Amino acid sequence: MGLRHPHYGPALANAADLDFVEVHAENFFVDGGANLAVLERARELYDISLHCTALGLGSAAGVSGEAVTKLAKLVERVDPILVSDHLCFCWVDLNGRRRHMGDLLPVQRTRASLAVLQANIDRVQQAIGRPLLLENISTYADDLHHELSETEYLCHLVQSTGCQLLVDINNLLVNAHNKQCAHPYADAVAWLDRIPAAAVGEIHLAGHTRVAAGNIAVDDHAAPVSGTAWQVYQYALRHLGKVPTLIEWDTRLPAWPVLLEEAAHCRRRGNAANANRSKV
Amino acid sequence: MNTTVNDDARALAWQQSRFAARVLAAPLRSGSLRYGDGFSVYRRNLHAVAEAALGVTYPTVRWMLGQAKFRALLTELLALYPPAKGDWGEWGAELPALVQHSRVGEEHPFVGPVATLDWLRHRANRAGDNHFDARSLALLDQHPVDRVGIGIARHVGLVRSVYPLVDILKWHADPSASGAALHVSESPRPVLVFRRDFRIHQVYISQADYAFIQGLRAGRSLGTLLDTLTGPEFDFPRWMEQAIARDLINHLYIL
Repeated sequence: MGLRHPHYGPALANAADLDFVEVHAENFFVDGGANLAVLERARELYDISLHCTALGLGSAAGVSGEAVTKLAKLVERVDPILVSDHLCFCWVDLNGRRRHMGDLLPVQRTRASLAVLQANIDRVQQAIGRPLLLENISTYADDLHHELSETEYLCHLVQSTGCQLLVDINNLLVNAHNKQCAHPYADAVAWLDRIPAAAVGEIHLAGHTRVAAGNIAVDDHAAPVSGTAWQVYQYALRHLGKVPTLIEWDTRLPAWPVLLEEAAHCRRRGNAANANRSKV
Repeated sequence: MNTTVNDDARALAWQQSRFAARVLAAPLRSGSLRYGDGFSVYRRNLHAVAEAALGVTYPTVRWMLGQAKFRALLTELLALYPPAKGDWGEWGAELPALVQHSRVGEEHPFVGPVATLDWLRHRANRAGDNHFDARSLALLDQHPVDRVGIGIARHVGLVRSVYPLVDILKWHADPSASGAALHVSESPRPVLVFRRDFRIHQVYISQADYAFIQGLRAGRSLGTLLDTLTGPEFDFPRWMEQAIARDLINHLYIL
């Protein structure tokens, strides 16, 4: 479960029945104070997954040395079970100024950009002393003339950097909608089929606000996991085996018990799929 | 070989900068967006993240200005001082100065000082934990005070304003309380911001206390400062006792 500020009270009062919680690493890039105390309390109760949203690993302008140093310090403090960020760029030099774009922007998938990602991922992995998980993103404007498919590209990165993959099922479905794909489920499972199962270290599940045909779907993490996403997840479990799974809910947050029920539902599905695999 | 790699990286950097420029030039639209409006999604996301971050850093300013004026300031800040650290918690230091020189600052001159107070509170909340070295108090017995300095904790902040900043913060915390008693001082009134037990506090302090802390921060000796602050307004033993209780200092040191 993603641990967000409004749930600190109930989540940290007592340990809930969760295998781990995920926090956004950048929220804890502080030198001290209440935020770190909250994180230390969370660490007492749960295993922690550190999810970064701002490293911009695909940035040709390079990642921020300061951010990498802060992440390494946080990793040392928390000893997380997972550390992840996205396949995207965030940093650019624009009009002579280096700036962060505040969102996950799509990388043009070429041989040249592979070299940039390899260098940036390597730099982060060296700093934190463990492999990163790389997450597929939602894309809203993609006229980038890629040389490689997303799955080919990810496979290259896994091989060349030793990173692992964080498969975000909602992002697959958002992209399918935005590509005006007639069969989002089929599109998502075909994507999963092209990914090496051994490289997948985590799955993200989330919901997004439904939009009418012709409108762009946005990965806003504002709704329960959709029926189609659960179906794709079921397929993923059969294809990938048991994988640590996290439910993200970041906007229009429901009460903590609602999230716990969503997590319990997810675990039941995972256990059932595992039992079925064992029978085969 | 290296030349090719560098050329490829430069070409990619150019492509990414162009993509970013298209994001920043996209119309900032609300509501549902049609296929083809993807760059507007990125621009909207950028503004949403920035607004959430700035609202955390400047809660009192947001409350005082309301959403429309706060968003206008945010747009100006993003254009003039784009995020450059990848940590939204560190973005927005320039807002108080921007407010002072903006139309909002002209219409509402108290907003600039309130923004400074919000920023100091935010900084105090993120500062490293302070640990006072009580053993260093022995330096006062071992050396002349002209050679002793006192280190101020990182969470400590100072601001001066003719506006009643502490009362405005109280009003923000409890809007049902009347703001009618708020009045403007004839001369700027100093306010001390500090963190104690994970809570951020702001209190009015005397001009002498303000000058003393500023002097310590500037690295001046205890002896020099005590010479300039003679009189009943400043009582060093009382100040020291309170500074330790409030966790304002980290150690005494030899200059």
